[in-house]
Amino acid sequence: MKTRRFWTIFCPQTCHRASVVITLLLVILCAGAEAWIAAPEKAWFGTHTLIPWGPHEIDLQTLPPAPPDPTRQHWLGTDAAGRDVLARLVYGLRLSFALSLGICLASFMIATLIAMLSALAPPWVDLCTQRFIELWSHLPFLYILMGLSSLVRGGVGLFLGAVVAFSWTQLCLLLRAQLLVARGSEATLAAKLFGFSTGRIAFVHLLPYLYPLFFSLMPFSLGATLSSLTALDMLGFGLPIEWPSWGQLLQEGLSHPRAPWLTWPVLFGMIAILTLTSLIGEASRKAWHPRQASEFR
Amino acid sequence: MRVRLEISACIFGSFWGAFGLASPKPASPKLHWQSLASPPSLGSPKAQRGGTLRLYLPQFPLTLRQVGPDAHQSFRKVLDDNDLSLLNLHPNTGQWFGELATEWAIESSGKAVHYRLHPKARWSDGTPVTAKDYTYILEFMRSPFLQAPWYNEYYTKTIVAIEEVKVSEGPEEIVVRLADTTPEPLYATNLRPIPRHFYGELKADFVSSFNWKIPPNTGPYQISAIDKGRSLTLRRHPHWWADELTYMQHRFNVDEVVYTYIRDPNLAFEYLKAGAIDALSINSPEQWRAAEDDPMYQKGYLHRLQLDNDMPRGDYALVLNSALPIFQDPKVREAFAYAMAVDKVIHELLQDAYLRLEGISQGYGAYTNPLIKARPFDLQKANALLDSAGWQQRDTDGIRLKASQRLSVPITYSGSHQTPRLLVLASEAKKAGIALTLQPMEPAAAFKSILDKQHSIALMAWGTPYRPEYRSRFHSSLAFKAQSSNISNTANLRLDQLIEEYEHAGNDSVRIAKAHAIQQFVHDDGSYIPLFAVPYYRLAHAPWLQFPEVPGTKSTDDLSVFDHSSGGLFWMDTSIVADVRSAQKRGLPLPIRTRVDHTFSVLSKAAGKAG
Repeated sequence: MKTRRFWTIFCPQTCHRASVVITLLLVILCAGAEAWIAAPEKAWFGTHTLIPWGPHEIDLQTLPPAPPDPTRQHWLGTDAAGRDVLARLVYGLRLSFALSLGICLASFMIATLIAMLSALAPPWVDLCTQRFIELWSHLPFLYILMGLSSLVRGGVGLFLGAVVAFSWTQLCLLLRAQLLVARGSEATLAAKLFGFSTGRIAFVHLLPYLYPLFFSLMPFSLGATLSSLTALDMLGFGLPIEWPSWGQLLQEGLSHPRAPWLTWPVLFGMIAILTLTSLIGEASRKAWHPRQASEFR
Repeated sequence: MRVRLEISACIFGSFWGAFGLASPKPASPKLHWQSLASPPSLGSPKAQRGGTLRLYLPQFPLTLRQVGPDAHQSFRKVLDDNDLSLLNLHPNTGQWFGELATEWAIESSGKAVHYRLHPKARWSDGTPVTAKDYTYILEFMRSPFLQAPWYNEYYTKTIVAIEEVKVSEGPEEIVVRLADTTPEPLYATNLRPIPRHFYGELKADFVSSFNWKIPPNTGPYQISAIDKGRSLTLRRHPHWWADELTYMQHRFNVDEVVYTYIRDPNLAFEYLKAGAIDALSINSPEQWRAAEDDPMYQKGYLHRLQLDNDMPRGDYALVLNSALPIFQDPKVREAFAYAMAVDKVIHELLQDAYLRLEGISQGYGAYTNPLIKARPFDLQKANALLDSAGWQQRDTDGIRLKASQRLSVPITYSGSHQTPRLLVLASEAKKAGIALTLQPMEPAAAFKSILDKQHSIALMAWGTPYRPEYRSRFHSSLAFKAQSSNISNTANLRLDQLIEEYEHAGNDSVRIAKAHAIQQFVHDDGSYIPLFAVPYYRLAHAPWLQFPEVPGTKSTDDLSVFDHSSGGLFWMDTSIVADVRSAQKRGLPLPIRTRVDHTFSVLSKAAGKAG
């Protein structure tokens, strides 16, 4: 009964349910890609793979980039180096998804900590933090990334760090606003009267007020980060060129305008992923609406 | 090999006779004047004058100045090609012949060359080209207002004087003096005049005031219209002074050349298909094949042309930075050479269109050491060398380890077309336990990084000077220094000595022997892993673009429009333009045409030798 109510509240419409199911299916397929897309020597089940080409395997039987060729099991063709497009698409999604999730979690953590600091520390700290956020959010991210990438080569950590460093500011403003409201709530005042420490008040009494924001913003943030990573990668400021990624497939597509099989799968993939995350985000936002949340409780 | 034709006074007299001039009196009896009466002509008598050729410009020029800030750019070649020089080098025979000069004589010291100027030479504004335009070169090039330190230094320390020689009668004469002897005094003193009447006394605002001014020139075309950021038009001089020179006849046939700036080079072929440009170089095998598969070619609306060439090949190589601890061991450098499957890239990725470069200084005739052969892909040798160098352990990925250090090295390069080639090399090198990671960069950033020696391995293609040049790339004085071109950080006293001996060789045979020894040394050193040579130039063009029977020269590597040495051979058949466009509009097929010319093929030459 409880499960049914969960689905009713969290996935009110069929499209929401479908998007959750499809997303879960995609996550499972990508996580276990070695079971169905891999070179036989690296495949989990030996030669029983659906696509016998790993993301790094090079097939030069046909001059690359080669169009889709079912006879050689290149269902979406090969890229300019003879690597299977489908394999790189799936492994690229896995990598982008994992990195986007990591970036989102890191930026949520940073945003929460700074929002807590703003809300609970003396007013001058809040003043300084807000001015800093205003300045920081106006820095030209792309130019800074271009500058960093010309100074430091091959730094994936640096690249991801830069993305995280510039992705927390807007979220922080929202969380701070929520915390300022929560700080004046009766529960928080009561906790203060009981003499609880600031840390306890912050993480036990105030943090739950942020959950609705977390869960309703996370899917949107995930989709936005994934598309940002793809765009940066396409511009050449992203992941190492050997790693499978959607941005590199797009970049190759731009360099080979006569090979549409390089770009179309990524474009359709992006549309699908953004649609799925938006639908899940919408469902989550509805579910965490104060009225419905209280109904669920 | 270059052949100098030294002629007797009577032949020389007949040469002058051709221009209706009296034989001049030599300014100095000690000089041995030389000339070449009739260099073999390149143009076709079938050529027709007229038409507008539309081409693609990959980078819009930042200035039209030929010296000073921002002057080094791709469009500079167009401007330089339209300025003739004292002499010219025949692309097929290698013979010097007069262009703005009619005769030349080298002083016995080897430090000065005398030139007799062509009396009919004219600037595009009709002003005669005089000795003053040559003596002015030093005043111009030494000016601090140019903001060009290299030119300031070169025209002070290398070319020390340009003097006008007083002659009682006959053509004007100048002498160009060098600071030091050089094996190629003609090459070193072959200057282009500078229009004194146009520039006058240089002022502090030279750089800004001459950015977009069009100076008079001596070549066939001059800029006639500029639409900044969009297009540039060059128009042929209706009465070009050099038209009557036999070497220039039937050349530079189109009336107008319009360059359209196309920001994305990947779209240039689409412009060609749309009829917005008339020709496009398609040197890469992928472009060549794509053009073949295209309906525009299949219906005969586009033609393809391939001309094999036989010219010095740039040192297109993977350059290992021997200052790195990994590459200080010569065994590791040699192992890397054996682990590079260059032949696989050529055979499978490039469809055997390119050739394997055997070593440095290839294509220089006698100067190229024929005994040097590039190391083939040989995993056994690579493994044995790496084992003996102490790289015996392997990690879980199969990459070799030594004292916990992975044998993982980045390759710095620019150009997305290189990525697939390097990925194939990296994939094969992994079998020897070598991890090659790719580090693509913007061209300018890559060049700076490589000159600063921040690379581990650099993919580099050096230009081709007239004769092989080694000091800048292998002399120890330039090793371990930022912004110098010894990018392998090669520093060896024996090599330094060979370079000194090469540069100061008294005659060609000694010089050739030293060049061979240097090439052998570089091969043994293993810092240069030679990659590819492109033995042709390929073009996709509209059917109305016509070429002579031999559509280029030995040294043609592009659709050369203005190059006074070998360019401007084609013409526009304006009579078929309307027919082609009409057929294209109605979808009627025309004959498919791919023309491949092997006149200068190095492959057929090699096959002939083998046979």
